[in-house]
Amino acid sequence: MKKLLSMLLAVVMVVSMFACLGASALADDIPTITWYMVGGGQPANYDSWKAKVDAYLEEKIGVHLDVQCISWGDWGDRRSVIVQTNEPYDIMFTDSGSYIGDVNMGAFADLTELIKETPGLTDVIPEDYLKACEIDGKLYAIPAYKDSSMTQYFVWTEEYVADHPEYADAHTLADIGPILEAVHDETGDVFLMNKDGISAIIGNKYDNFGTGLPTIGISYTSGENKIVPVFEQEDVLADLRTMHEYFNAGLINSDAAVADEATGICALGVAQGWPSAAKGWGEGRGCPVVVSQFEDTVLSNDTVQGSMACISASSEHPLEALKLLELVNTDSWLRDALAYGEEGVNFEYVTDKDTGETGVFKLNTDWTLAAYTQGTFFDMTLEATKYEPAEGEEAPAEDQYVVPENYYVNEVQVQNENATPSPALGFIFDATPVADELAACQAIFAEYKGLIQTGTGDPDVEVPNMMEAMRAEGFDDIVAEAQSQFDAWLAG
Amino acid sequence: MGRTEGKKRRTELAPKKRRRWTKDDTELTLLSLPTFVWYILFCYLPMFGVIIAFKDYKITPGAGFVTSLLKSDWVRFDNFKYFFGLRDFPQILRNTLLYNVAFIILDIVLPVLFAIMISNIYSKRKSKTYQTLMFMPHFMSWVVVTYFVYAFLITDKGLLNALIRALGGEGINWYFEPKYWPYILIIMHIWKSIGYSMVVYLASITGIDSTLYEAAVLDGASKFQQGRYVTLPSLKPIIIMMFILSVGHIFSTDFGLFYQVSRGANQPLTPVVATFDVKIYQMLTSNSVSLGKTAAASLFQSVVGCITILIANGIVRKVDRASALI
Amino acid sequence: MAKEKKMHQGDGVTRLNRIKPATNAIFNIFFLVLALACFLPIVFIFIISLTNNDVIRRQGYQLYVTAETFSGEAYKYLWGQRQTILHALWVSVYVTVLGTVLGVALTTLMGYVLSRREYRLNGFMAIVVFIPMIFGGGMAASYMVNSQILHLRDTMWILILPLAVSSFNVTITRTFFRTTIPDEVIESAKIDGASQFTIFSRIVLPISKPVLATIGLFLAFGYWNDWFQAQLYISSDNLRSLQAMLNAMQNNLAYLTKNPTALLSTASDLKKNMPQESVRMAIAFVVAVPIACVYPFFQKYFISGLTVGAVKG
Repeated sequence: MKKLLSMLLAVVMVVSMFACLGASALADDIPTITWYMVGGGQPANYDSWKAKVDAYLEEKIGVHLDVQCISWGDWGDRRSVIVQTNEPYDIMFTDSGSYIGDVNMGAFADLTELIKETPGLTDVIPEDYLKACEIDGKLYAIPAYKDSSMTQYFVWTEEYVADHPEYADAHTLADIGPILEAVHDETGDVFLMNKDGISAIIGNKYDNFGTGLPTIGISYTSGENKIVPVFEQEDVLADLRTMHEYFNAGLINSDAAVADEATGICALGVAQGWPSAAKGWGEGRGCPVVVSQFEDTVLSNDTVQGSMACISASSEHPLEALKLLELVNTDSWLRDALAYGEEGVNFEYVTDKDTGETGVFKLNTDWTLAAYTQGTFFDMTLEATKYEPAEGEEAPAEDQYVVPENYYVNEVQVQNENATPSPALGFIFDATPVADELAACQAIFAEYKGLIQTGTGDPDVEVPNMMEAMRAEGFDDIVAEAQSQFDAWLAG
Repeated sequence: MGRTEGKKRRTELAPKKRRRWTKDDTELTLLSLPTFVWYILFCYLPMFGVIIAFKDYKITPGAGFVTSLLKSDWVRFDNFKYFFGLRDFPQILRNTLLYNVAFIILDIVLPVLFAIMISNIYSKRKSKTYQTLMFMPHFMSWVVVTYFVYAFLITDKGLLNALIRALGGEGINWYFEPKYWPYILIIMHIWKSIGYSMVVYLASITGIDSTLYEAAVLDGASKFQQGRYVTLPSLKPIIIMMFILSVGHIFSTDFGLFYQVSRGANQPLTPVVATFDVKIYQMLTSNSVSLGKTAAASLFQSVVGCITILIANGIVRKVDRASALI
Repeated sequence: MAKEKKMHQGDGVTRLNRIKPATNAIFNIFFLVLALACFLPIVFIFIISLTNNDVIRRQGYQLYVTAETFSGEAYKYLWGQRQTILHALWVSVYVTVLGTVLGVALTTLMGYVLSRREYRLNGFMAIVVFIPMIFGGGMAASYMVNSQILHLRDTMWILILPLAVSSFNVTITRTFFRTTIPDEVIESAKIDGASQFTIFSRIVLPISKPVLATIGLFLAFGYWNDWFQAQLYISSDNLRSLQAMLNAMQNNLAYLTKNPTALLSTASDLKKNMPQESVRMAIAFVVAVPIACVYPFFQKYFISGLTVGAVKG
């Protein structure tokens, strides 16, 4: 009895304690900027890292930084509740998926005027790229200027294509056929994909200008300013038919349309990035890989919006937050601290044994923040590797390091400059008049995506099925609405 | 029996409705207070969120969620239109209802039957073992279940097709043949829940006074008659309660079963596996469907569930007042 | 077996009142098949966790492990992570035990009160319990209340409190108390001058072990298998339970496969963060084992043939 009573009492006390806990606002002269980003969760040495970064930031721009790194899997739900309930934050990582919806909800601050106070940002980020993030002529986000264009690669297992050097010239889906078949015959391995299939079939040719609906789009190359039903275009259908042939020939994994992931050794995969990224892809696959570019590099609103930083409409320190972003994009020390972690714990600065260039040598893989969510890549110190003497050579007494050539400048920047821009770059579609139709069509696309984009289903059957379902939900109205807005944008 | 006497007493008390507040009432109130507080904090405080369904939610800069919500525009029933206007609404309505009718019936008939059967097995140790093993599926999340269903059904590498081929048949493309899926889903549902749902009935069977059986034996009742006239009537209140509760969820479905086991409810399976919860999940994760529309769809589910539960409860009340829920 | 026989010999009527041996045999076979159908998939998961990943990828899933297809890689991986896993296990156990105790207390209290028909506020309380069964404020509103009013975010309590009571469980206890506890018992106790507290703790609880076990079991499973609370509210790794860890692994994988940019920036850490199929199965197995061992502890109350009290109806 007594036990029971004391237990009840404890429960009541606990409950009332929580009710009493009020907001515990700290009085602090130095504003703290709270920054939510996605990554591998809070790093273990976050506190000691924060102490160093705060000291640095206090001196530079007079702020403290509070990074909240939410792990990949939690991000979707967590981001949406934080934004919806307007929980206090200053900077929020955003990508094209949620950007327009959140702006429409009124979550983010208008930075159009404010950005004039931070010339560092406008110097680093090309005007086109900022334009690509505008909605109704207002800027709500600072894009991270990095691989802001999109280049797709065929990723081949090196060992398998050693006897097929022609892989290097395979740039289209039709090109890869003979090599794929030969490799499949020799090894039994396939063109491995998951249920998202090869979205580049469409993404390389048509820009869906931020609708999130790949069945609608405008051609990068045709030169006609016409918005079309993408899956009914001959070039796309031809590719889809090729895929279906490969599937029927057993060159694609038979479970592609229902597979969640596509990892492990395989003949071929498709990835987005730049040539030097192949090293990382190889590590992911578990064997060395070689790449050939899959069609052209393209540039659209979507590719720019792959990583952006937005400032809360309720932020008490929007200017300080923007200044922080400016510093991230211009200051190497801070950039490295965010990307690589704490000096001496997560990484150390080293110099190249020949060129004397400074590089970053990672001491471990404990740093969990993701560099791509934070800012530009072009002020980041490159990652160095330990020098491995060739066979027969004498090992050096001390560790020596090799800093690679700057692939951000040599590869990524070159890609960005040579990208084919979409005719709709900077055109932001206002989906409000057709919001319900668009949402319904997106849901239909999600249903058919696996079947069509993996080659599992016959495109001459499934595409008409999908388009019929979409037309029943008002697909043509979306096309008409988009066309009229686009024409008005071209005229204005 | 106690219950009939209780009934009598209640009818006697019925006329003098305004009873005085007694010491008993105070004590019972104190006993229920912690749980009552819990309900207020975790169920009733968040309840204001329901009004999102009638709002075009916009954030007011500098204000919290509640203020923003209150300041947003009322759009009356606009948010409901999207959900009802969907091309496949009739289809998901049909799926949801048919699966639930099947589940409600099977979830009562099978566990009750199995619970009675298993309680009659001679060896208590064996019956204990069976029960433990039958409970196993409940230890696995749908994600894990999805993995091994996949391992069984996948066309080339799957175990089931390997078996069919070994027996001389031809492999079936399970994930691309909608006609098998209603059976697969129903079997998986029963498989995962049977051990779990038996527990409630077993606990009640255990609670049945053994003298009732002794009396029945003395009257010459066969084992079957005992089940029919002693066990079942004793289980009636709990069966009715489970029935009413599941009727309240007739517009809700187990998301994990329908979405994950079917690997995303995609074509060509969509027509037979898409239910309300699958649709609502898609709305929730879609960036072009506003918060209000999703809330409206969930609210619709709740309201219809509430109506069906009240109707079921009303009917039960008419027939047997003591078994009614409220 | 011998012990059981002895037990039954004492009770002549029970012994006479058995099903026919043939029926018993049929029932045994029936449940044996059913039990195997339910149990073999777990064995199967264990087998996958011991199978070489390359074999799975090339030859498909295997029903048995041979020397060629065996790989202890998955468990080696888990052993390497033992510190994290042991901590997550501790969180799971802590949350499950504390939550189950708290939940059983809160549930049975309300269930008992609702079972008292003469209670003045009975109708009101029934409605208080009934409404949340059907209506909820949605994820955003709950998040707002839990994090901004109750300040439970990133604390142990957010894993415990919101799951402690469910109207379903309250209703089960209410029905159980109503049907199995004779009013006379309570009436006579009252006449003896016992307060409701005494009646509840001294009379009702001791004879309600089957329902306490049922609710305890349901709650324990709810706590053990919950990952959603962690996904929404927990940032500190030291508050992640085993199930939440498993779920986070799956979700991280899903996010990274869907976002090429993210995948790119973490490609070199891929091996560390992306567990292979066998590892995931190994974790699923490790998650299931401890709670499976707890089941028999609850079970003894469902099967032991306990009769309710001394008072006969």
